[in-house]
Amino acid sequence: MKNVILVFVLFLGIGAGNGVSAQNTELPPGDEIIRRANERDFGAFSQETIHMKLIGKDGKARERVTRAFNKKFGEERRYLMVFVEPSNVKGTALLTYDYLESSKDDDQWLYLPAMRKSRRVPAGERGGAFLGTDFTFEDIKTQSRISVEDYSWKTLGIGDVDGHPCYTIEATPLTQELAKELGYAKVRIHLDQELLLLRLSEFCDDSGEVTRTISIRDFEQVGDIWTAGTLEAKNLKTGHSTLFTVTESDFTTEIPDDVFSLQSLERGLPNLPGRP
Amino acid sequence: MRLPRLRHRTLRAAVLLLGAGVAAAQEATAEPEEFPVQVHGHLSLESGFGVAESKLQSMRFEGLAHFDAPLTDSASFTGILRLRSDPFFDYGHLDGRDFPELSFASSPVRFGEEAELELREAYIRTQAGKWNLTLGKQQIVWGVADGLKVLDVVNPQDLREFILDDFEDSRMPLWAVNAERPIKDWTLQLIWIPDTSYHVIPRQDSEFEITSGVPSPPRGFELEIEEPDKPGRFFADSDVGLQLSAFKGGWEITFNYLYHYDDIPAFPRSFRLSEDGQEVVAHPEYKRSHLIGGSLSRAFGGLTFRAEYGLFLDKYYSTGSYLDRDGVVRGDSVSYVLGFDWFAFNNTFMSVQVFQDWFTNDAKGLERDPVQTYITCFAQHRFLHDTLTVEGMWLFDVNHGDGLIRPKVTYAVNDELNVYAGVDYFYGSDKGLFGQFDKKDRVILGVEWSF
Repeated sequence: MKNVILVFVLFLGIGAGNGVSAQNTELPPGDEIIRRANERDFGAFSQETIHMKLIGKDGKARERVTRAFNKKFGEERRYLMVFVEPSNVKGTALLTYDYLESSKDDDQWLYLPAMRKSRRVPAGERGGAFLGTDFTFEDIKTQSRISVEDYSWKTLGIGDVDGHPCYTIEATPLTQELAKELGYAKVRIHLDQELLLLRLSEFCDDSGEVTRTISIRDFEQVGDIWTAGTLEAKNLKTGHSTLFTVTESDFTTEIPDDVFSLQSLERGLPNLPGRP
Repeated sequence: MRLPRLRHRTLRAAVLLLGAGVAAAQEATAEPEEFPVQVHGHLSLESGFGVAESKLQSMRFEGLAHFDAPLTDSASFTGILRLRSDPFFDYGHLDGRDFPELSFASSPVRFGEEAELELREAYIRTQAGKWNLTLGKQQIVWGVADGLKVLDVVNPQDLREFILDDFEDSRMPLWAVNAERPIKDWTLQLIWIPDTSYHVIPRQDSEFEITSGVPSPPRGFELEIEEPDKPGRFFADSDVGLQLSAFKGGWEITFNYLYHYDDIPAFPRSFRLSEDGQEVVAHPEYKRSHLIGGSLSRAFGGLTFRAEYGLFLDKYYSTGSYLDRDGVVRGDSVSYVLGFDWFAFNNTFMSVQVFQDWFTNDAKGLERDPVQTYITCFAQHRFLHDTLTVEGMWLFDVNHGDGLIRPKVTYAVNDELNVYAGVDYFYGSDKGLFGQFDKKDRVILGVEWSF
């Protein structure tokens, strides 16, 4: 699917407590803003460690550690996430092929070490929770891309997220079927006005009620590439939340192509130079 | 340095494989500065209460340790050691060796009747040019079917608990060379298995002794089963195979070939007069077979289609006809599985599979139907952010109308501790694959601590 948006930046968002000013008439259309955001440099490849904290309503937390690998193959991006800790999920891996063509469904596989087999994640599961977190399979996939063509776009105005002026854009899935797959009726996106980074998102149900948010913080610039340090998804219905903390980001070590093959899913964590 | 003389050929092969792996790993790149060894695993206790017999059927303690150690920048070692002990489960008795079906290097070490220690896996992963090599004791899994097997026959299986144990746990790892490399858009896998190990068959009078499909001796005759005539030549009796796989136009495709010994021996029989009277003597013999097959799968919107198929040349089945010279019939068989998966609604996974096996020789008295059909249904729902999982598996033998139903609930108390409860419910005719265990229904309770 088309048009690139940065790693961990397309978790669409809107800021809590942000005031949206009524400047719509002077603002560019939403799809144009997204296209501009998609033109930013994401790097040809990257790897990073993601610490996940799954926090229940009662404050009890479960933790996971993953290694994630990302590489551009022409206009296509491939993304591999391998669970390293804890023991009961170690070796579980998600592989995503994210295509340029909007007419082509992306491909996603989940490898479960207990079965020694990878299971295809069909498009119908895009809105399903990713391994108990508050992120969906779609969220994990769209960390690198978003399909502009899948939504109708409307720029609502300029808001403020954590002190940063942001475009507030409303995205509505084009079809009921797509909305069902994604698990929401609308999403409002807050995109940094200057850097075109997504800072916060708000997913709404049919009644317009916000059911889930994703906020993205602690951006760092590595060379020309902006990368997020923290991503937090909150399920407002259950009170459950998931915090991703990104460390050891590496945009310089080249990753061999076959790391992103189905066979490599079964081989587990790739042996790469500079592995932490 | 002189190496100790190793009597058993598979043990020699094992040492050679690991040695070759270490050598290849040392060739690959310079040594890193440190060699951290990561250890993880679990301790578990599972009890099975036999409902019909109203007694404890099993009380199994299991400890499993998994070691990972990087050797160089591009090579690593993995070892898995498992200890199991079950004072209640009836493994049956066998004279002579504990595991005559397994090679010496692949046999678990038994401690009395109750406990066994097994080196589950020990392999080195490394690279040589474009080849990814896995050298040592390992599991090689082919195919896309769940709970049923067509292509997943590279490794034999421990059937002492029928098919109730997870395949991951019941599959018998083998000493093997496993080499993979990309060739344009395809991946070629070559395997060489000098380890002559085969299915561990339930013993006579054991908890899950197999009676369905086994000819019974004529009235007045005793049945005597001899030790299997196991292949023993290092190269000539090796299994070899290849898999070509690719992802094309949304389809995952594989083509597979395996030249192997069938993991279930043929049972040619003869009649003998002894001091105790008349006997039917079965002489188990492992027979060569060719597997030519493949698999494919594709996602269609919310639905995933899976299929695998195999043509097995030279299969041997027993016949109950005493007009047959040795009671064994040779033929070919064609097997396939068609499956569909879908996510019915959020966090709910469902799957249906149809399996058919057609044996081309319709000889009289054959102890199996020419066409056997099985259906499986699986449903799983995950609650509370994957901390509570409710699932159920139904396996149905269409020919005999029997089946197995396996509901299970698992709760993750935290990241380390899982508790679970389940039922294995067999029903139907005792001539059926599942119905033969109609009296073996059990309730399972278990706890597992991961570290």
